[in-house]
Amino acid sequence: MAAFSIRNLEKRYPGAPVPALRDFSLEVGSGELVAIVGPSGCGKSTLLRMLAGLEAETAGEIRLGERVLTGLPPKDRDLALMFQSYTLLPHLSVEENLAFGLKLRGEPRPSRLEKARAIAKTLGIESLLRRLPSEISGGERQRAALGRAILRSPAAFLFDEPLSSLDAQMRLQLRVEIQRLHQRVRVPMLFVTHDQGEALTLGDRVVVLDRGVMQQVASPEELYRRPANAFVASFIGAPGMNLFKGRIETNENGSARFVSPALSYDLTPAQTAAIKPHTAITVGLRPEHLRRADASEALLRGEVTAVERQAGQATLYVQSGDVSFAARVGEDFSARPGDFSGWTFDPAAVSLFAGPGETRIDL
Amino acid sequence: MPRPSRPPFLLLAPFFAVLALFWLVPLARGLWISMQGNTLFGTPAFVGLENYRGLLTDARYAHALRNTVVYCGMVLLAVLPFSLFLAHLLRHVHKTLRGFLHFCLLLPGLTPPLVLALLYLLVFHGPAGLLNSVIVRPLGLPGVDWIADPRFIKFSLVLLMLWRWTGFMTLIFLSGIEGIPGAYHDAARSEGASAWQRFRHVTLPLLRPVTAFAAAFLLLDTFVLFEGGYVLLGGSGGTLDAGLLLVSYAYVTAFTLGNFGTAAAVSFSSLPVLLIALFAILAWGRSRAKPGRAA
Repeated sequence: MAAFSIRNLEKRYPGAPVPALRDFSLEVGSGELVAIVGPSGCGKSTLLRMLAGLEAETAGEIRLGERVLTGLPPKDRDLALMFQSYTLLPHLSVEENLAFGLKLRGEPRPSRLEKARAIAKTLGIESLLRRLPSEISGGERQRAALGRAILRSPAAFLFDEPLSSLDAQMRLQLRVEIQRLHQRVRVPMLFVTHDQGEALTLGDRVVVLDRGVMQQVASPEELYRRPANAFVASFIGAPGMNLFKGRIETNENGSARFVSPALSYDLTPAQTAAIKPHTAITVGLRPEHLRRADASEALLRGEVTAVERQAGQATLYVQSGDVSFAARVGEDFSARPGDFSGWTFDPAAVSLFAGPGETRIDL
Repeated sequence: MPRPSRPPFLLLAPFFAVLALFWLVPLARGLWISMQGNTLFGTPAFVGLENYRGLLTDARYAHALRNTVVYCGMVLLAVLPFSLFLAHLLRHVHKTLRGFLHFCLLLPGLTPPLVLALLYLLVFHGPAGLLNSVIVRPLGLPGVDWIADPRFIKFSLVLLMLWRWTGFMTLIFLSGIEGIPGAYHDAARSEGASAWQRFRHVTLPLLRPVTAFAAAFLLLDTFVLFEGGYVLLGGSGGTLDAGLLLVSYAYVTAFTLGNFGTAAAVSFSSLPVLLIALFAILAWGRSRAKPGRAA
C-alpha cells in the first residue's frame, strides 16, 4: 500500500496577510495514523481539504505512493474524507448512503447494497439500514459516514474532526471504531482534531500546527515529554505545561539560577552547561511534576483559586502574583479555594525554552 | 401547562372575519350563481347541477380544459428547468454584477400584468412584433403570426409566462441552491461524484421542496392567467380557439354570451382539478425518497 507524501505544501487565500498553511511537509506511512492538532484557524482543516482536492494549493506537491495527487479533482484521488458535520444525504436511507460511492462508480444495485449490508454489520448499524439519516442519532450517522468511507476501500483516509459534534460516550465508541479500522486497513490515515487528548490517543504520530506553521511532529510520548517549543508545551496536556518567563542569573558560587516573579530555583549542572547566563528563558513544568511542600522548602507559593476534581485525581489552579499555574494532585489532597499552598519539583524534570520562537533547549 | 383556551381564537377572529367577507362570501355566491339559469335576461331560476351537466357535453369546454392542461404542463416544463439552469449560471457570476442581474430578473414579475400584456403585444404581433423582426426574420425564417396562427398561439402564451416568471423562479432556485450546506457537496465530491452527479444526486433532491413550491406557485398563476391571454387574444380563444383556456372560456361565456350561470360552473368545475394538482405537488415536495427505493 502506498504512503502519503506531502512536500512544501502552501495555501494562501487572496487578500489574507499570512498564508493559511506554510511550507508543510509530512510523510504518512501506509498503515500509519497521523493526528493533526492545533487551535482553530491553525490551518489543519485547510490542509485536509487540499489533500482531498476540495481546495487548490498555492504551492507544493502531494503524492500518494507513485501517484501525484496535486491538480487531480477529488473524484480521481481515491481518498475517503469524513467530516465533522453530518454529511449523509438526507433523502437517502442509511443503506443507500453507504452505497453512494459505489453507485457513483456504476456498481450494480444488488452488489452495492450487499456490500452496504456487510459493512453495516461490522459497524453495528445493520438494524438502521432502512432508516433515513434524520431518524437516527448523531453517533449512528457518523458511524454510517465512516461506513460509507470504508466501503470504497480508498487508498487513504482523511478525518476532519469527525467526533467533535458527538457526546462524550459516542465519541469514545467511535474512536475505538476508528482505531479498529486503523488496525485492519493498512492505508495512511490523517486525523484532524482540535482536541489534543484525541490526537494523543489516536495518533501514531502527532503534528502540532499553529497559525499555518508546523510546530512539531512526533510520537505522542515525545510530544508530551519533549515539546519542541513553548506553544506545543502549553497546547499539549490538559491543562498544558505551566510556563514561567524569567532570566538566568549567576549565583555567588558561579552556579546558574533561574529567577522569575513566581518561581526561582537553582539550575542543575546539565542545565547550567546548556544555557548562557543573563538570557531570557521560559521554564516549563508539567502539572504532575509539582509536589506539595512545606513553606520552608517550597519553590513556588500561591493561593488556590480553583479545584477541578477528576476521577482519581484533582487539578489545583494556583495564583502567585500575576502568574497562575496548575498542579495535579492525588485524590487524597486537602485544599480549598482560598488556601495558601507551597510547591516543589525535581529541577531535572523541567523543560527550558529560549530564543525568539521559545524553542526547546535540549540537554 | 398551557391549556387550549378561547383567547387565541378571539385574537384570530378579525382575520377570519375578513377572510369570510371577501373570500368565503363571494365563493358561496359564485357557487350559487353556478346553479342558476337565465342569469342575465329574465328571472334567474335555480336549476341545480344543470349548468355542470351541460358542460359534460360541451365540446368547447372540453377543448378549453384540454388546452389548459397542455398549456400548464408546457409552462411548468419550460419555466422550471430553464430557471434552474439560469440559477446555476447566476451562481458563477461575479459578485458586483449579481445585484443588478437580480433586479433585472425580478422586474417582469413586479410589472403589473396588464402592462406586461401590452408589452407582449409589441413582441408577439404578427407583422410588426419584435419577435419576428428581431429574431425570426433575421434567421431567414418566414415571419410567424404568433397571435393569429393557431399553431403558435399556445407557444406565445407559454413564452409569455416564460418571460414573466423565469426571473422570479430563478431567484427562488438560487436561494434554494445556496441553502444547501456545502458539506453535502464536499462529501459527494470526495465520494467521487462528478459535477453532473452532484447536481443529480445532491442538488436536485435537496431542492425538491423549493421545486415544489415554485411549481405550485407557477401552476396557480398559469391556471388563472387572464390579463396576458385577454390582451393577446382580445378576450377570445384566438383563431380556432387554439388559445382558449378555462379562464377565457368562463370570460367569454359570461361577458360575450351573457351566461353567468354556465360561466360560474366553468370556474367551479376547474377548482377540484387545480386543488388536486396543487396538493399533489406540495405532497411530493414534502415527501422524501422512501427507504429502499432507488433514488
